[in-house]
Amino acid sequence: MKLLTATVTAVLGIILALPSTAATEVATPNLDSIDERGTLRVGMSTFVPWAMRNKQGELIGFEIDVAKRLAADAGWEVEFVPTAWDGIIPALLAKKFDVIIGGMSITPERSKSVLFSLPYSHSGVQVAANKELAEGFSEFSDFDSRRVKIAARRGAYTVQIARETFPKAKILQFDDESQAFQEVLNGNAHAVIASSPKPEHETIKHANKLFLPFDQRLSQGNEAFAVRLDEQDKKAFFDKWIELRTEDGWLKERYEYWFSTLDWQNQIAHNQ
Amino acid sequence: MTENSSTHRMNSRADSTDNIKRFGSLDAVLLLLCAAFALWLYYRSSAGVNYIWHWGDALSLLFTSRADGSLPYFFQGLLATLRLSFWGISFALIVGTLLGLAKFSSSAWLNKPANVFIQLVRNIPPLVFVFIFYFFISNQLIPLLGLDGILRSYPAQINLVQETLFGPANLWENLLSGVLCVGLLSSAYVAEVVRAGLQSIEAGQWEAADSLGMSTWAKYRYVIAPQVLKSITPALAGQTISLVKDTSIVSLISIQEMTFVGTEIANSSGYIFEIWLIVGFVYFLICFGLSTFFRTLEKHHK
Repeated sequence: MKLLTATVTAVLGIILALPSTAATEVATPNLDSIDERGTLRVGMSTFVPWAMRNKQGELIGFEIDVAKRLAADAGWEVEFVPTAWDGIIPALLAKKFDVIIGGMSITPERSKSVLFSLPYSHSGVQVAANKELAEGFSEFSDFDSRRVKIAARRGAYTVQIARETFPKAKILQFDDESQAFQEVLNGNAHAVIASSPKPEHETIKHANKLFLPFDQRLSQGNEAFAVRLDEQDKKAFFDKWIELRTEDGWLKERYEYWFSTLDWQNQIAHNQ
Repeated sequence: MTENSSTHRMNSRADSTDNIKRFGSLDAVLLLLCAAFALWLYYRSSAGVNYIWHWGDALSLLFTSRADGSLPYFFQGLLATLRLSFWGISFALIVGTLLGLAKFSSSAWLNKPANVFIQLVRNIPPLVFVFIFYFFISNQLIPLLGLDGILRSYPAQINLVQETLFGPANLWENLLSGVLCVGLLSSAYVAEVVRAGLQSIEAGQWEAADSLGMSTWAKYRYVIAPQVLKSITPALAGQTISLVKDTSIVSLISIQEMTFVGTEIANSSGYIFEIWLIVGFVYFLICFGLSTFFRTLEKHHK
């Protein structure tokens, strides 16, 4: 009996002692593994103008600039892993890539499964409405009715905003934004809710069909890099980089280029 | 009279050669109906749907080669689909045949596990299987086999044969996951086909082979296999075509094949309908080509 007690105590002692020694020995295991490989693998999804294919099929966009600069500053190569948006968080958890740089807004739900860095961009959500169906609508309450259909991209942050702002309206979800806008242009939905500046751009393009019912953006989103929950070292590294690039204005300048101008339009097919 | 023969083929499934091809009043009515439907579709697409078609731009986009002068992005996707189908069907045929033999075997050690696998895969929707497989199994399996390191640290220089067979080196892991997914999914169906084929062989054939004192290998090689192969070819052909179509499912786990590439191009360019119609048409061409090929193969055997 004595022997048994002694053994149990010893085993327990070892189990308790192990994690603490491990923690002090290795400080940045996750960063080291990227260093070792020399390549930062970035998960992203096609989403104009965050990341998209130009005419030659190369990736361009705000996110692509950010990821390239981040990798260049850290002395890494960069490898983009295009991923379907629906599976981007599971793919991160399954270690298909090191970080999501994909215009992902910080939400409490997502924070349960991934660890967000500091926000590197602040986008908003805007509504574009069909001129015929939503004639005269200018208040939130106009859209908050059971008869109103609102289109949005599936799984996106915008769906949540739409549910909160227009709880009674029917939310139609689509796999990508172009389909959601097409639904409104076709007159099958009253309005589409999407991240700025897409609603503004589309309204200019289809001025005879669409209008912006609200002057103000619906919500201020905060987009951040996402890493796996236990990777504090990576988060700290990315946070520092974001702070640095926010201070020197580089992030803002890139954001302006992709979101406030249309100078990049001739790089992609001009229908967008 | 190409229209005549094509409607004929559509209407009569048993297209035997001695069938007299005559243009009847029913054919005329059907042709008219088809034409009316096509016209209505065209009218709806121009008037009902608020969409400006850009066929010229969309097509030229698909044929624009990459910045480094390599194959256009869309064709890289098409090639990936072909590779995925080829390796997928090879994998499915081998594993499926083994599973089919195992299920047919009288040993419980062989037929029970095989049966469990087949029932599991066949009774789960393909999409769900793909998600489960990719995120839980393939994720454990590939690092376990050390393939992760091999594939990643492979020298960047690969020769033309490797490039043609497996595509660019940085997508090998991606391709392997896709092949495993489609291959395993399809192997369960192939196994059932093989088992049914084996069961269709009359007991007399087995007994005759045994009574001649043939070894197991000789029995299967010279008596059973030729008969089974002949009877299961149509079913296997169907399975091959369905595998090609199933490769589009793995676009959801970001295997960069034609559907995935199509999504990316459609989203970036905004030519949604054009791109999807083209993607659909290309799948049709591949599958129709395959089914024509198998039909001539069957006729050849008869």
